[in-house]
Amino acid sequence: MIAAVSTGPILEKTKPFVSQTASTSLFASAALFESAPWLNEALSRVHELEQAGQDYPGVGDLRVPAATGTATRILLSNIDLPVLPKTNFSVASGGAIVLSFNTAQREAEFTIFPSGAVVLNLLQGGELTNDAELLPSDQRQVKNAVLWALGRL
Amino acid sequence: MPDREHDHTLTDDVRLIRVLVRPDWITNKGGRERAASFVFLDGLTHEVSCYIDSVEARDALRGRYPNMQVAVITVAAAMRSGHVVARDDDGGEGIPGHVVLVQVDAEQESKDHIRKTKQLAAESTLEPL
Repeated sequence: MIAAVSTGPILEKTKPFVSQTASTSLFASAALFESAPWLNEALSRVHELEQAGQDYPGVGDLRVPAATGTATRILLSNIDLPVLPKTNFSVASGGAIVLSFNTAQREAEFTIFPSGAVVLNLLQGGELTNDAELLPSDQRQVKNAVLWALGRL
Repeated sequence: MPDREHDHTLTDDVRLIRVLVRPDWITNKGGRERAASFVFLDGLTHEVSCYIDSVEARDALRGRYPNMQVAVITVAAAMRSGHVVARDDDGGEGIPGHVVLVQVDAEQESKDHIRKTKQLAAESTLEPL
């Protein structure tokens, strides 16, 4: 089912607009939303986490700093895939966001710190198979992790 | 952040509790409920608040966080996963037995740090507060 989805024509259609206009960022954003229709909802979830974060005295501060939200948005924008595995957002103490993409057996989990540091965990059957330290802007690693969770790598 | 030192008066079998304040802090792995892998992580201060398990601490926590569950670990489990357990009486909002867990074996925000955090969560059990 997943293999039948193609981004090719969409990307081909948007490229000329991006290359021929001075206002590239707007068109690039529009192209991204077109090629990744899930992104709008994902960005809304990040916004919700930022707005709903609470301080729990004696337990931990779960308010999400703007820096974590920004890093998470950058990371999400690097997943230019038309479909995603099941996506979960959680917040740890200190405002770190834990973002995971799950299929039946595989999970790609990103822990995004307010500093902008990201730790990636790949789990299969609940067992850690690989991990890495990266930046939200590491497009290849971010995208490959999600492809791995989808069983396409 | 002050330097933290392990409190050597805490024996290995001392139980520590952490209140699970959000539903997604509880996960189900292999049919068993336990604390989510990131429950013993703090992304900013890198100090995680727990309480030495006691009737007094539970009463006070229940008053503030009714109908919650707690993750239970031991001092030995915390140490096995590279943490020191430091007393922090001033940081517990008046709740007795406040301690902080600080990861000292792994660099903060590293993949080793996350591994050890997961290790500790995997050793936790859940109880009603």
